Amino acid sequence: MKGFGVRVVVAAALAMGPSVAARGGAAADDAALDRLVAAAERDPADAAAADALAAFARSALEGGDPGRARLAASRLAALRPDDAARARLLARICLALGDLDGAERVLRDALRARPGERATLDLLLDALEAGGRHRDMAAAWEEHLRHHPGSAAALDARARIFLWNLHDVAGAGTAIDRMESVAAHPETAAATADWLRRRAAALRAEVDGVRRRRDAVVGARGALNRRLALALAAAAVLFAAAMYALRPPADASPPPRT
Amino acid sequence: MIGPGRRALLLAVVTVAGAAVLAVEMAAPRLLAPYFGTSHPVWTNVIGVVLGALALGYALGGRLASRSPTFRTAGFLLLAGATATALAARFGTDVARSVLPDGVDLEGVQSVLVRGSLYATLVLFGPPLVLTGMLTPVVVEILARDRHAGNAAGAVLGFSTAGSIAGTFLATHVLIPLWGTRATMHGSAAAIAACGLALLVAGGGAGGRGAVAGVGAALVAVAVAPAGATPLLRPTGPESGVTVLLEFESAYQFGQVRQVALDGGGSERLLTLNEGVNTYHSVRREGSALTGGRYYDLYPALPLLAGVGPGDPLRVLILGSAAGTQAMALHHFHGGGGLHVDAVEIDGAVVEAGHAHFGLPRAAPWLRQHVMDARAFLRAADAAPPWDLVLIDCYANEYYLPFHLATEEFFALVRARLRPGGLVAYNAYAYRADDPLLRALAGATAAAFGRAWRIPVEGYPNFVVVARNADGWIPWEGFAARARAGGFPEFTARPEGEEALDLAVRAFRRAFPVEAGGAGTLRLTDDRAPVERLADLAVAAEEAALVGGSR
Repeated sequence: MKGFGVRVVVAAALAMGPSVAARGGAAADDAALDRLVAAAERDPADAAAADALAAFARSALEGGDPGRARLAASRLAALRPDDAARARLLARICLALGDLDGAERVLRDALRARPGERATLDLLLDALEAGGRHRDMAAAWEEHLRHHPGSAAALDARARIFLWNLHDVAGAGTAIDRMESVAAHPETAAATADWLRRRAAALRAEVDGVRRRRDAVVGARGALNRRLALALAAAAVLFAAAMYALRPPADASPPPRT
Repeated sequence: MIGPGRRALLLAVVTVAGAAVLAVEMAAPRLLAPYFGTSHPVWTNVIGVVLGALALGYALGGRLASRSPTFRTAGFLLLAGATATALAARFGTDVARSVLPDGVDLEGVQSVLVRGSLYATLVLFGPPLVLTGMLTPVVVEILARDRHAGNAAGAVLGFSTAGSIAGTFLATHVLIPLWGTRATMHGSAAAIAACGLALLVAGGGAGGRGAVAGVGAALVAVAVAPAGATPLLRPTGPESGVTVLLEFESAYQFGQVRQVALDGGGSERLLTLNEGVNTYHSVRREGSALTGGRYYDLYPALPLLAGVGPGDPLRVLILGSAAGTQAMALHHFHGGGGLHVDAVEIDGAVVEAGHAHFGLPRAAPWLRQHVMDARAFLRAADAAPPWDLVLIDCYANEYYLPFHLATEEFFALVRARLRPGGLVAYNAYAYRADDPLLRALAGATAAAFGRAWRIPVEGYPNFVVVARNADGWIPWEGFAARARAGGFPEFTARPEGEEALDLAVRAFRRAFPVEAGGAGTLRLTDDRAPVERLADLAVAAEEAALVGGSR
C-alpha cells in the first residue's frame, strides 16, 4: 500500500506511465519528489509546477505516506508562504504525523496572514482539541469573533466549549448573553437572529441542566456527609455504651483453670 | 461442665454462623451493586466495614464473656443478629436509593458512590456483623469452663473459619446464582436464627421466654422478607421514560435491559451493568443498525479501511461482545456470505439478554458465540485462522477496563492473531484527548503495533483507538477521498450505509497518531497496569470540574 497513491500521481505529473513509476518503488517516489521540487523551485511563479508538488503531497498523504507528504508540503509552503491552502495542506500533514506544535505554528502563521479564515481556524481547532487544549480553543474562537463579530457558528461553538468542555457555567452564560445580544442587533439577518435565539435558548436550558446536576451532587454530598458522620457517631456511642454496660461485675474473677 | 453433645452443638453453631456471615459478606456488594457498582473502592468499603464490625463484636463479646454467659445468651445474640440481617436484606435497596440523587451523570456522582457505599454498608451490615461477631468470645467462654482457654478458642476459630470457607464457596457458586442476592441473605438470616433457637432450646428455655423470643425473632425475619413476586432491585420511576425489560444477577454482575424513550420519538434498548449511572454495554435502536453516532457506528466502516468490502470474506473477532451490538451491525453492513464473527463474552447471562432483547441470533451460520475470558480465548486461539478485524469492548462495572486486557502483552497477543494488514479497534472511555488513561492505552497499543491512532467520538466521552498489523500508516485521507468519490457503492447501497460511511469519514479525519513511549505516558504491562486508578482519577477530575464550576 505504501507509496501506491504517490506513484500514480507522480506518473501523471511527470507524464510517464504508472507502471514505470510503480516499478521504481520508493526510490522512484523520492526521485519524482526531487524532480517536482526542483521544477517548483526553478520558477516559484510556475503555478503548474507548484500544483504538481501539492498534488504529490496530497496523494502521499492519502496513500498513507505522510513522511514524504510532509517533505513535499513543507517545500511547497516555503515557496509560497502566503498561500493559505498550502499552509493548510502542510498543517493537515503535520496533524496526520502527530506533530501538534508544527501544525499549530503553521496555522497560526496562516491566520496572522489571513485573519478570520474559517478553514484555517477549523484545522487549528482540531490541533488544539487533539492536545486537550479547550481554553485555547475558546480563545481561538474569540480571536475569530474579533474579525467576524456576527458569526453565529463561532458564538455557538464558543458557548458549547465553555459549557461542555470547560464546565464553566458562568463563562457559558456570558457567551449565551453575547449570542442573544448579536441576535438582537439590527444588522443581524433575520434568519441568523432566529437561529441564534433558538440556540441560545437551548444552551441556556443545558446550562440550567448543568446547574441542577451540580446542585444535586452538592446537595447529595452534603446530606451524605451528614448521614455518614451521624452513623459513625452513633456507632461510637452505642459501642461505648455497650462496653460500659457489659463491664465485668466488681466481684467478678476469672473462672478457675481446669 | 458441658457434655460432648452440647459441645458439639456449640461448634456446629459457630460453623453455621461462620458460613452465614461470609455468605452475607459475599452478598453485600451485590445488594449494593445496582446503586454503587462493585468497583475497588466499594469492595474496600464493604470489607472494611465487615472487618470493623466483627472487631467491635469480638470486643463486646469479650466483655459479655466476663458475665458468665449461657447458651441462652448466645441464642439471643444470634436471634438479634438474624433479625438485623433480614432487615438489611429487606431494606438494603431503600437505603441505597435514598443516598443517590436522581438525574446525575457518572462524572457528577462518583464521590457519592464511594461515600454512599460506605454509609450503606455501615448502616445495613454493621449491626448484624457486630451481633454475630459477639458470638465467638461467648462460645469460647462457655467451652473454656471445662478445658483450657486456648483449646476452646482453637476449636471455635477452627470451626467458624471452616464454616466461613464453606459460606464463601456456597454463596458464590450455589446460593447467589440459584436464589439471588436477597434470598441468599434471608437464607443466611434464617440459618443464624435456627442456630439461635437451637441454643435457646439447649439452654433450657424451650417452654419459656426463650422460645417466645426465638419464635418472635424468626417471625420478624420472615415478615421482612419480600412477599410475592420479587421486586426489582433497581426500579425506575415512571417519569424517567425508562422501562426495565429485564433484570438479572449473574456470577459476574447485576444487569438490566432498559427501554428508553428518545426525544425525537422511537426508543432504544440499553444493557446496563451494576450501577449503570449513564453508561451502557450494548445498544439497539428501534429500526436501525446504527446507534445515533455512538462509537459503535464507526466500526462497520473499518473493514473497508482494511480493503474488505461487503460480501468479501471477512473474519471478525469481537472481544467483549456483550448483547451483540457490534455483531449485529457488522452483519447488517457486511453480511451476505463472506462474514464470520467470533463473539467472545465472559458473562453468559449477558449473551442471554442479547438473545432475548437485542436480536442476537441463537444460531446463525455467520456467528459463533464463545462464553469465556477474552485473553484466555486469544491465548487458546493460536490454531485459529487469523482475523481481519478485532474489536475490543471489554468493560467491567461502569467504566473499568480489566487490567489484563489493557497491557502491552495483551495487545501483542492481539496482533499475533491478526492477518497482515488487519485492524484492531477498541473504545476508550475518556473525556479529553490528553486523558492519562487514554494516552496509556494508546501507548500500550502502539508498543505492540508500532503505532496507534486515537479518534474522538463527537458528542460522547469516548475515543476509538485503532492500530494495524503492518508497518507504515493507515491511509485515512485516502479512505476519505475514496468515500467522497463514491468508492464504496456496495456499502452505501445498504440501508444506512451512506450515514455510516459519512460518520466514519468525519471521525477518521480526526485520527491522531500515537507512538509508543510518549513523554509522561504510563506504560501498561502485565506487571503494572493501574487502569482502575487512572479511570477513577479521570472521573474525579471531571466531577471536580463540574462541581467546582470550571476546569
